[in-house]
Amino acid sequence: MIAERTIDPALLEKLTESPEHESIDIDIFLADEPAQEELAYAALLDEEPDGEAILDRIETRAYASQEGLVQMLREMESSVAFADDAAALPGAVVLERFWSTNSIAARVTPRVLRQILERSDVLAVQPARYASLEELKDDEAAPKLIAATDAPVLTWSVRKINAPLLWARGITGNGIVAAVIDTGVNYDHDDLKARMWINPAFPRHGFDFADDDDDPMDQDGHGTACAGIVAGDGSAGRGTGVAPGASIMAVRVGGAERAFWRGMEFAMKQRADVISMSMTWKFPSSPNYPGWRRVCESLFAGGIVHANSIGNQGTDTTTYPIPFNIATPGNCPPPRLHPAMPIHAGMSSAVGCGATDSSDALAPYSGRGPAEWNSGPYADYPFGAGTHAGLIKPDVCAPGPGSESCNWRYRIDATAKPYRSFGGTSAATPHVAGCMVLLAHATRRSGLRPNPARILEALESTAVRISGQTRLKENHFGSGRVDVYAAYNFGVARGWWL
Amino acid sequence: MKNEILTKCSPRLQEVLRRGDTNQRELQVMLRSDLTPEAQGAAVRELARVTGEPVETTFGIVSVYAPVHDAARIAAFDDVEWIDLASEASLEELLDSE
Repeated sequence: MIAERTIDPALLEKLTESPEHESIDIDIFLADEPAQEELAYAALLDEEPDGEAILDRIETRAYASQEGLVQMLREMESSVAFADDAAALPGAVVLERFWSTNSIAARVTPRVLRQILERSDVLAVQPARYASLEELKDDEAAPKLIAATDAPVLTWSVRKINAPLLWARGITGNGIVAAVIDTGVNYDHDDLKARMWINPAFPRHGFDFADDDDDPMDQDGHGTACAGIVAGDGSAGRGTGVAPGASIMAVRVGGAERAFWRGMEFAMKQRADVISMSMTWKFPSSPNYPGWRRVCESLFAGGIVHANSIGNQGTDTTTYPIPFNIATPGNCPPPRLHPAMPIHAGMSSAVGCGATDSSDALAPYSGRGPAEWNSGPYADYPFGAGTHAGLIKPDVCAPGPGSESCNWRYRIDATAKPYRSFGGTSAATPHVAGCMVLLAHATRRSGLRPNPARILEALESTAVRISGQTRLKENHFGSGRVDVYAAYNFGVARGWWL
Repeated sequence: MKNEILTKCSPRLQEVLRRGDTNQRELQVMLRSDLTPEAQGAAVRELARVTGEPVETTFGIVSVYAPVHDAARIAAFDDVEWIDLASEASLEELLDSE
């Protein structure tokens, strides 16, 4: 029995379809993750860790953990797995060994691949073409967008948060999957079609939980605009995506809370790395607050990095009174508790995103904290009538008003233009999600798993202060407007990513 | 209804219960988060016995259609942590764009 977790779906398909005499190029990732353990250990030390010694230890341990598998593959090298008149094929060839990712590149027959998948020391196997194709996409996307930096075709908000400085370092979001949980995505849009998540089981790049079918095509435009800010690659002439190398998983939701929860569960089960959701349930709709908190706790436990809007009701505190002005799930606790927060209690996945303009002024409508958790099973962030601090919200801000993104009607209507203006905390959220994708890429590139707490700490610690913000983190402003390049450098200095 | 059972019901569900509503509604039953998958499965089956088949279970939250007054019986289960009525909202209300 091949465990589902160990094999990439595309490779599984190849394994099923390939004849026994055909070789498959694969990357085998070992279960032992010395880099992650070393960094976790280093984080516990009081003194500055010795980086060189850590790298030496990671290298030694990685190669040691590969020995059993390499020995098996070497034995297969000398055994002819298949022979006919044309060729004699070895069962396996070790192409290269990598200590930083603790992986082995190999060329194997389907029979040997099945043996590899049975091994307990193997964490995952991916087709080699996956990595090389992604690298090619990087090359394809980067020049277009870097060139756009010098021309007025790269939209202002992407430059504002310094995303292009990471693209220049090869960090574009390649290999990272961002689930856009929204009204669907026009996956035929020029800027998105090469960016859509690929899974043979979901041929239209996601699922529609509003209508319960497998076609999450956008029927409103909101979701396509959000996807364009996360990963639009500028193919139609305007760079709107923060992470133009990422993959977009389209998850269409609407109507009932449980459709949203099913969508989030789908994203988690299908291994999305990041969730971007620019939809919220507001106070007058009487959302099931504890239910949302439970959902976000589950996402947190699953290691999902989650950016969520907080609503645009900042100027209407009558209909949407504080501490319920921040809509749910943007009001759920973040995965990391900032030292400036007066109450340190429960955590969950939700990074609540407020909106700023091109001058770093807070959008007047951006939701107003604090949030309160003080009923039912969650009573850990009381606010009362201001007698307690509640939960500071938002967590961070990003460009909202005046943003630009993909127009969902493009390629549907012959006359539709490719881009549109977009705003609200709906626009701010995919900017934050795009930053998370870039930092997740930097983490993955270092052979580590993306860590929601570290990603948030980097974004919060380096955020640019917003006009009127007086503290490191406070209600209305959060920690400030994100700067992903500064956040990246923050993590590099701590060995969180390379 | 006993107080400890009432505390498992959301304020708006409590209000509906106080009104003596007998209508069939969608209830969201949140199970305790510390249940093992096996215990969660058993709890869902027990809920099904009381209310009929659940619509679905997501992240340990079970959606069931049941007469509202069944909430009292459901809340009496040890494995149930919270019950609320399901909400719906229009797309316009949900979107956070300008």
